[in-house]
Order: sequence, then C-alpha cells, then structure tokens
Amino acid sequence: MKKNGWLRKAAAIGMAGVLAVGAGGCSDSGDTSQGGESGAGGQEKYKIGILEVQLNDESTNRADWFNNYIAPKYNVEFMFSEACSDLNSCMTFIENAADAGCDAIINYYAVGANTQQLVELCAEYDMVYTENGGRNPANDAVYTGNYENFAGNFMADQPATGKLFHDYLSETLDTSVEHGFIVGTGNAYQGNAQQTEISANMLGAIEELYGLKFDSTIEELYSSSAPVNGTNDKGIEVYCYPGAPATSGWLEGLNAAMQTGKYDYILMSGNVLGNIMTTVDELETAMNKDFTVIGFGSFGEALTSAMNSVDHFGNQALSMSTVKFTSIVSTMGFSKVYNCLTGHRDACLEANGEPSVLLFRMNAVTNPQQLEEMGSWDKEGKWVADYDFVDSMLAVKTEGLTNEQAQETIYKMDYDAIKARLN
Amino acid sequence: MSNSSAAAVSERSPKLTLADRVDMIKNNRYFPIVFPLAMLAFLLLLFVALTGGEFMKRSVILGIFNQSFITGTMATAVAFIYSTGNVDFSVGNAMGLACVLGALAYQATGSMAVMVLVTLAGGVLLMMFNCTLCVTCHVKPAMVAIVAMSIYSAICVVLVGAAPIGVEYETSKALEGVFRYGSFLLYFGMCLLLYHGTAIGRKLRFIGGNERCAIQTGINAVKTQYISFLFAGVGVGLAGVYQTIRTANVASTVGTGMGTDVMLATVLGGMSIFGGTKSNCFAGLIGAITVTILNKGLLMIGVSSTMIQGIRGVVFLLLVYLNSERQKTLPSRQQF
Amino acid sequence: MSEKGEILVEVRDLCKNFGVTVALNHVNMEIKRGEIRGLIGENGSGKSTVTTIIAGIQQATSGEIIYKGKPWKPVTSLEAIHAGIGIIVQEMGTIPNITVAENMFLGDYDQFRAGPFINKGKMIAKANEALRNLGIDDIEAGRITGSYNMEQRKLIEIAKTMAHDPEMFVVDETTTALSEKGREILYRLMRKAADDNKAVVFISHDLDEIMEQCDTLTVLRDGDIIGSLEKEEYEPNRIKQMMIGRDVQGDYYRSDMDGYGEEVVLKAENLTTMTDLMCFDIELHKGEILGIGGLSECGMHTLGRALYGLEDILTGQVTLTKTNTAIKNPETAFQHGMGYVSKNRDQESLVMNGTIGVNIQSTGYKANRGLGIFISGKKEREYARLQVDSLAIKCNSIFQPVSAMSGGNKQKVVFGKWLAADADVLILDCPTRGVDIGVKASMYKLINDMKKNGKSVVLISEELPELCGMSDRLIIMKDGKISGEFYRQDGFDNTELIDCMI
Repeated sequence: MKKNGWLRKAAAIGMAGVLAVGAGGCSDSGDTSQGGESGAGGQEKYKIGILEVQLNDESTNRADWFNNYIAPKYNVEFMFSEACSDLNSCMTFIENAADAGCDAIINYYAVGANTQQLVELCAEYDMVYTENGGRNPANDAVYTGNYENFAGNFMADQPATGKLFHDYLSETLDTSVEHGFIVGTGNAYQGNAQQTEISANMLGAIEELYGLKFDSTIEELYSSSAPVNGTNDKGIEVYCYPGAPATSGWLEGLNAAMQTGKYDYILMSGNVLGNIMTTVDELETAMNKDFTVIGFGSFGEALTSAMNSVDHFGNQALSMSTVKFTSIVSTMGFSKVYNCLTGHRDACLEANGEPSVLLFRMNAVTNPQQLEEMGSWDKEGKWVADYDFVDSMLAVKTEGLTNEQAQETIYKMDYDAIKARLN
Repeated sequence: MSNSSAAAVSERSPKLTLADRVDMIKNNRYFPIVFPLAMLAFLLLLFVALTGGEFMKRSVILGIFNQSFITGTMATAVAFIYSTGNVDFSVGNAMGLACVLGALAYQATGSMAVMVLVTLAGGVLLMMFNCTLCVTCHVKPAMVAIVAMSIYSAICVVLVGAAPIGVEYETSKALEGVFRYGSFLLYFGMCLLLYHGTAIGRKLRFIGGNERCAIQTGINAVKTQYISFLFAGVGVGLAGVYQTIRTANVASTVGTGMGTDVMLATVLGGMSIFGGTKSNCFAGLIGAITVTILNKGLLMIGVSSTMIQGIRGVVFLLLVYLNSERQKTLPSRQQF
Repeated sequence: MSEKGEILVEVRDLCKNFGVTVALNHVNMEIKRGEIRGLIGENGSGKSTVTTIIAGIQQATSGEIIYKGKPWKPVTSLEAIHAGIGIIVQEMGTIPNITVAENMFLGDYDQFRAGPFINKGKMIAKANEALRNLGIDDIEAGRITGSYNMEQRKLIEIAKTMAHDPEMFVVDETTTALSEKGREILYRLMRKAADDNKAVVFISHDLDEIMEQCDTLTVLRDGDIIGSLEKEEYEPNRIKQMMIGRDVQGDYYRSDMDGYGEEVVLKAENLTTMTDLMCFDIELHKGEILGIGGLSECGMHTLGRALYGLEDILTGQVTLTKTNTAIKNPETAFQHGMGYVSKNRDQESLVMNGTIGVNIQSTGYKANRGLGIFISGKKEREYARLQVDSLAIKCNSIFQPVSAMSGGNKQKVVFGKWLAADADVLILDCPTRGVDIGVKASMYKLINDMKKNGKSVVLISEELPELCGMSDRLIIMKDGKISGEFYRQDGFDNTELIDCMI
C-alpha cells in the first residue's frame, strides 16, 4: 500500500477537485434536510423528486418552471432524474431519491400495471407518489387499496383529445371529393390508451362523414399490429398503419404507402411530426400531390417548422396538431403531492374516498399565427400556470378545496381563458 | 535470481522518470486488487464526508448493494469471456430472454421455483448457443454477439408484447432477501475459487494472452471457450433472476443496454476488456459498486441532473486512466 | 570531405534504463568512416539498445551523441534515416498485411502524394528499383508482404534502409534470418559502404562471421563496454571471455558419441499435410537427438509442427508408440508428454504480456495441484523459481513481464517451461536463434542432459554447425522429402550435407 501512497493522493486531489466543481454546480448548497413531516401545513421545506422519461425541450421547460417559478414561492426543492425508460431505472431513482431525502415523487413515466409496485416502494420510504398515467384494470388495486401515500394520478383527457381530431375532420373534410386516408394508429395495438382513443376518433370521423361502413370493426382496425386496409362499402381508401419511428422500417413503410398514390390524408395518432415532414415534403414534390397532415404533437422545433412550412402547393405543410401546456400538467402533479404532504390528502380523493385521476385537455392548433401565439406562452414571464392558478389547486391556499373543484379549475383554463390573461 | 547483476544494479543508480515509477507501481502484482478497492473506499469516504454521514445509513448501503447486484453478477459472469480476449455484448439481451422464458414458465406453472430454474437454465443455454455458433461458424464471439443481440431482443418483443409479464410480487420480495444474498455469495465465491484457484482461470487468461501459445501448450481452446461461456451463462441466468424479482415483472425491453453497462463496470474495476494474463473475476463487481456509489452519491449531494452525466463521465475517464493498462502497441487481438 | 578514419558518430556517456533495469551504463564509443564495426555481447548486454538509440528508435535516458560534428537526437527513426543513419532491426520489421512498397516507404508516403491521394504506382516502381539495385530479383513490390517468407522480408527491410543511401547503417542480427544468398548480398553492401567511406555497425552472435566481416570489434557486457579489438587482435577465446566474463567451460556442443535406444517413441507414417509434406515417414528413438536440417523451405518446420499435431493432416498418421496414441492435435501431444518450441518465439511460444511465472507455469496446471482441482500457489511459484534458478534467467522476480527481457532470456523461459513439464519428447525448432553464446552453451548442455535422462529430442535447425554438433542422427530434407540420412558415428561431412540440401 505504501507504494500506492502518492498515487492515491494525486487521484484523491483530482477527484476532490472534480466533485467540488460538481457540488458547486448544483442548485443546492448540498445540505440535505431530512424532509419535513406532513404536519399541519406549516412552512416545512419539502423535497420532491421528479422522474423524467427523456431529457428534451419539454423536460427542460418543466424544470425551469419547477425550479425557478415554483420552488422559491412555495418553499420546495426539486430533484430531477436522468432519462428513465424502464421500471428498473424508475425504482433506482426512487431509491436514490429517498436516500437524498425526498418526500414525494412525481413520475412522468407511465408504468401502467406497475403503479402499485412503485407506490408500495414509495410507502417503504414514506414518500408520496403520483404518476402521469391513468386508472385501468391492471392497476386498479392501487386505487381501491388503502395506500395512504398515493395521491392519485394525472393525465390527458383521452376522449377529449380524440375529439379534437374528430371535430377537425368534421369541420374541414370535403366529402364531395374522394380522399384516401393513412391512419397512423401508433402503439394502439399495444394498448396505448391515448393513441387508441385518437385512432378510434379518426376512423369514427371518416365513417360518419362518408356514411360508410367498415367491413371490420374500428377496434379491429386499430388493434392490428400489422398494416391493414380498412375496406368498406363505399370504397374509400383507408390504410391503418401501426408502429412508431423507433421500429425499424416504419418510415420506409409509410413512404411506400404514400407512394401508391391512393392516399392524400395523413392522420397520425403518435407524436411523429419531426420524423415524417421531410418525407412528406419530398413525396409532395416528387409525386406532385398535395398531402394533408394532421397529428398529435407538442411544442418544439418540429412543430414550429412543420406549421410554418409552406408546401409545394402553397398550402401549410401541417394542417393541425394537438399541443398541451406543460405547466398546467406540472401543476396537476405538484398539487397532488403538495396537498398530501401538507395534510390535505382529501383534496386528492373522489367522493368515494379513492384517489382521483385529474384530467387536462389538449388544445388544437391549426395555423402558424395561432402557433406563434401559443408558443410564446408557457415560458418565463408568461407561464400559463401562474401563481393564481397554482394557488387555486392547493388546499393550503384555497380553503376547502375538493377534487371536483380542482378538476373544474383545470378545465376552465382553456385557450380563451389563457389568451385573455396573457395577451 | 542472478546475483552478479543484482550487485551490479545496486552499484549503478538508474534515473527513474515519473513514467517509470508509475509503471512500476502498475506492474506490482497487487495493484489490480488494491487500486480499485482503494478507489472504491475513497469514493465512499468522500460521499460520507460530503453528505455529513448520511451516506453510511443502513438503507443507503443496502440500496447500493440492491442496485449493484444485477450488473455485478453479470460482470462477474462476463469476466470469464473477457479473459479470453473476446467480447460478447449480447449478454444483456440473453439475460432478457432468459427472464422472459422464466416469466412465461411462471405463467404456465404458477411456481416461482420453476421461474428461477428456467431463468437459470435459459441463461446457460443461450450463452452456450452463442458459443456453439462461434465454434461451428468459426467466427469471433463479437460477431456472433451482434447477431445474437438482434435475435434475442426480437424474440423478447414477440413473446412479451406490449404489457410486461408479471410474476408473483410477494415471493419476489421474499426472494430478495436471503436467497439473493446467499445465491450471490455462493456464485461469486464459486467464481473466485474456480477462476483464481484452479486451472480454469489460468487457462482462460493464457488464451487471452496469446491463443497460439496456449494451443501449443496443450490447452484446448474450444473446450475452454465452452467452459467460459458455461460459467458466464450461469451468471447471466442468475442476474436474470435478480432482475425479475426486483421489479416482479418482465418487460420486452429488459436487459437492453446491459452489455455496455457490464463493459463499463469491468473497466472501472481495473480490468481490461481485452483480457489477458492480468484479468481477474472481481473487477466487475467492484466496478458495478463504484458506479452505483457514484450515482447515488452525486444525487444525494444535490448535483443537478444536467451536471451528473458530465461529472460521471469525467470521473469514469479519470478512473479508467488511472486504472487500466495501456499497452505500448495497438491491441493485436483481432475482434472481427 | 569525408575521409576514411574520420569520426562519424560519437557516443558520450550514454545511459539508458528501463525502470530499474540498466541497459546502458555510461557508454562511450566512436564509429569512424570507412569501417565496419562489430558489436558483440551476450543478450542483454546493450548492443541493440545503443544502436537503436543512435538510429532514433528510442531515446536515451541521459548522455549525448555527436553526428557529423553536431549534437544528434533524432525523435523518430524516420528522421534518422532522412539524416543518414539507418538500421535493420533484429525483430521482424515489416508489417505483413500491406504491400512491400508500402512497407519500404512506411511513414514516408508524402513523397508520393498527389493532392489528397498517394500515387501507388510510383511508390511500387521506386520500391522495385531499390530492390533490383541490390540484386534482389524475386521480390515484387506490389505484392503483400505477408506472402513472402522471413528471409525475403528481411531483404525488403535491407532494401528499405539502403534506398536512402545512408551514411551509417546498423545491421542488427540480421544474418540469422538470411540464407547464403541473402548473406552475400548483405556482406557486399557492407563492403561497398565501407569502401565509400560510410560506416557500418554489425551486430551478430556468430563469432566467425563477425570476425570475418568486421574491421574492429567492440565487446559489451551488461551495459558496459568491456573493450575493443582490431582485426589483428581477434582471438575467439579472448573474445568469448570478454563477453561472458569468465572462461567458457567445457565443450560447446557434445563431446560424446553415445548412441541411442532401439525403441521407437514417435513415428510418422505416410504423412501428408496441406503444404510441404507428402507421404513422409520418420521415426524417433528413445534417447535420441534427431537433427533435421535443410534449406528453410524444405518442409522441416512443417514436419515439426505436424509431429506435434499442429498441422492439418490429409493422410497418414503421427503415433506415439508407447501408448499407441495418434497425435492429431496439440492437446493430445501435450497430455502424452510431448513438448514443442516454436521458431516464432514471440508470436507462438510466449505470452508477451505475461510474467515469467505465468509463462513457465502454463505447463504445470496439473502438476501443481494442491487439493483436488485447486492449484497450490506455493507449488506454482516453486515450479517457476526452480527453472529460473537452474537456467540462470536474468530477472528480479518471477513476476516480471516477459516483454522487457532480451531474446536469450526469453528463450530460456520457453525452455524452462518445457523442462519443468518434464517432456519425454521435445521438438525444438531453431531453439538457439537470436541467442548468444553463453545461453547457447547452456542450452546444448540441457539437451544433452535430456538425452542422458532417456528423453528424445527432435532438433530442427537452419544452422549446420549446431546440427552437426548435437545430433545423433541427422536427416536432411529437400522439397518435402528426406534427401539424406547421416549418423554421428560416421562423422558428418559438410560438403555431403550441403549437397543433400540444395
């Protein structure tokens, strides 16, 4: 060991240096308080761990809101995970968060059936838990069992999202012309609730508007794991195309389908704008055919460039997309755990005493001006979820808050309300 | 040892440069054990200091083990393959498939014991399959690994589908106790004994050092390769069991990426993934624990998640630089 | 400008150490124009070290070199050759997977650069020109180097150095890889250089050769210069004494005329391999030293490999008669008490990154068992130390890596490995190549001892004196067949032997 002496010293100094730099770079002075008790709503400093699925624009935006807007006002501290894309890494982060003194976990990775497991894991460490997910037969036990640390979940109102697509088609589709439809069903065949809902609505709209009847049921069409033709009595071309860009060959298959020339409407239930717009543009030029694209989206460069591009024919490259305001969703998660931590768990419960699932509605954006306007919101200085909104979701600030009231508040924060306030 | 030259050496004092001294330390035969452990201890103490003693809590230490088990077991298993100078990064996917098979067996029979056995057997069989492909097609394990990765993960996706296959939660929690620690100690102990105490480890390292020389010294390369994959297979299966009982379910993506995690753990533990005579079978475990300590510690002292990756990268580079043996020539072992 | 006798290179107080190992200890030397200076010494004496430092392959730890009156400290060998000092190295200096031309101009491709591309045609043409200038006709610069045998590759290296027309060049133990014809080419080059008032440094283990070719001779030992001799003063025993530091005892080769047993221990019947051998028969008797000689492509190396099970056998069989075992692979051979020392020491006989101990212990996995299948560390260390002591391997401990050792020491390690294994049949392929006199003598003694203990040895060698000195029975091969068989008791006639070879 003696021989290693000086070498270790050198290494020690090196390491200490690195870690000193790192410690300096953290948002805290490094002292970990042992999380306050969820006592009588006092001025305890709570530490909340946030589990992210991927690190992208959205998560950066979210971190900005949490760290710079919420943390100082409500005396809370946030700790973010790295990208967790499986259950194992979720568990690892939760364990590490517990060791770091977190009192609650907001989980953005919808673990579906395993919610119960994570709730139980959090219970071991006395942490409150909420998840950006829903309630379904697989995880029902979490809701009906008496899990004191479970604050219920929060997620998008799927039917409402689907309806956005249905309504858009109803309003804009010219049925006097025969159109062909590629319906990207995404991972609906795997059970993805949101994409199921959207696909169902898209197919339903086509069915209604043309007054046609599909040979198979709509459910069969979107549940198929392989591409399938929605043959119908009116002979309208409908091609249901499942899968996601991550699957190899997905984009090529879409390209091939578009090249058949039978379809001119591209309806995507998954967030694939960034992946397909180039292909669409190329094919529009090559085939001299105008494609109409609508799809699920989110604020970001892909959407901005798609919406602002003008295609070969002088039309908008992207006709419609759905978006959501991250801060609203974040408020839902935050309010859930904060209410529990401050002893107001009842604000998270339904009338029957079971934890609720808070819902939010997406917005549809159909033109660049609207996108620009909406895109300028939900940033520093123009947070859609401002202090008033957040206060109205917290039981300590709003006396007698119930779950129904919270839900109403969220629904009321729609496009018009936001526009009135921020513009 | 030659007396006359020893006397002569002491008369003339060679000028030792810094590089020479460092080399001498690195060549000391205890260096591969002492240094990684010293680094580990140092990190531990550092975090204990930085967190004001919080790091020594029982739950934290247990948590470190919990999180290192899977990678640690796999890394120990793969050391057998790395020693011969081969790399096989399909071990993660093989483990995944073993987990899937085990979970399916559980679904069919309702018995967790069956799940454990099938997972273990699956690990062994899949690794032996890899080995057989190498031997019969006369290709290096690295090439087989590339193919195997895709095949195994594809089979997983097909068998599992969208929703993960669940196994019994209660029993999983129970197994995480004595069974896990016990089986791991047993496996690790066995590996240590067999690797360092018998001819097996020596032969593997000799092959890694110079395969042609090994063959000329009467070592049967094919048989030894099978043995290395056999031991690796047991470890892969065992890691699969640990993986399944940790989350009490098996998703279609389980095990992806572990191939590289294991390589990282091995290198951090001070062993070269090119194998050779300086290999050992405990580097992987040390490396896995080091990674876990680092992750946990950084989070506990409040480093923001954006900085964590960067710091981790720097620390890894530093550790690898200090630890590993850089040959003066390019590696001569052909991987492809 | 340049006169004979003018000092071209002067080495002052040069020191070099590798860790604690001192390779050069305050060496002073002068190399004059017009002379062929020989450097001789045991392995590890420092001759390669001092010349490689002069030629820019490595750097000295301290001291200075004056070249043409100015301080000389080349960073690379390329820099050195461009300035006029070249070296033909002891080890294999060509890369097998690239063409001859690419090897000859390694690192120096810029002269053929046309824009971003390299004009390969020009490079090949220039390489061919260099080869033809030396009288080498059978090497084509466009072919892959690996397709040529060791001697041809050495010739390529020579052409590479001579193409730059150096002021001084070093020939480091090159002749061992060359045939008669190759040596002639080399000697002619050296003579011409000397006549042109250039300087040559010639390193060799072959005392006769060095005495014949060199004008002056410098002896090194353990990193020190012992002394220099002019041609008039050459006296073999004196030189040997300077090299080793003590009188060389006894006979170099064997002095006895003992015969060997009747019993056949190893035989090959009707052996046909993929290359070289066709329906070959040979027998090895107990207690026999069977010498096999010939030109380098005669097939004797393949025979050695085939006897140990390393070659693919098409027809026929190699049999160990005692147990009637067919030898089809090295594993069987080893398990039945056979051993094989390959010609390519570094590539095949040793794990270069391993320690001395690991290499020697590789034959003792079974023998060193302590409890059941577990190996006793103590026994293993003893196993290795015994060999280190009895062979006088120069090292600090058995944990030293083999890569840092000199050629002779490495060969001792290889020998030690097989001696420790107590092999009954040992096949040696060029065992004393690149090994100095002291080590050679001890090896011959060992082979003798083995014979006396009833072991059998197959000695494949390209050195006729060695074969004559050691064999009980000498077989000369030519083109894959036995062209002559000679017996010790009848005496070996060099002319006859060479006749059989060619």
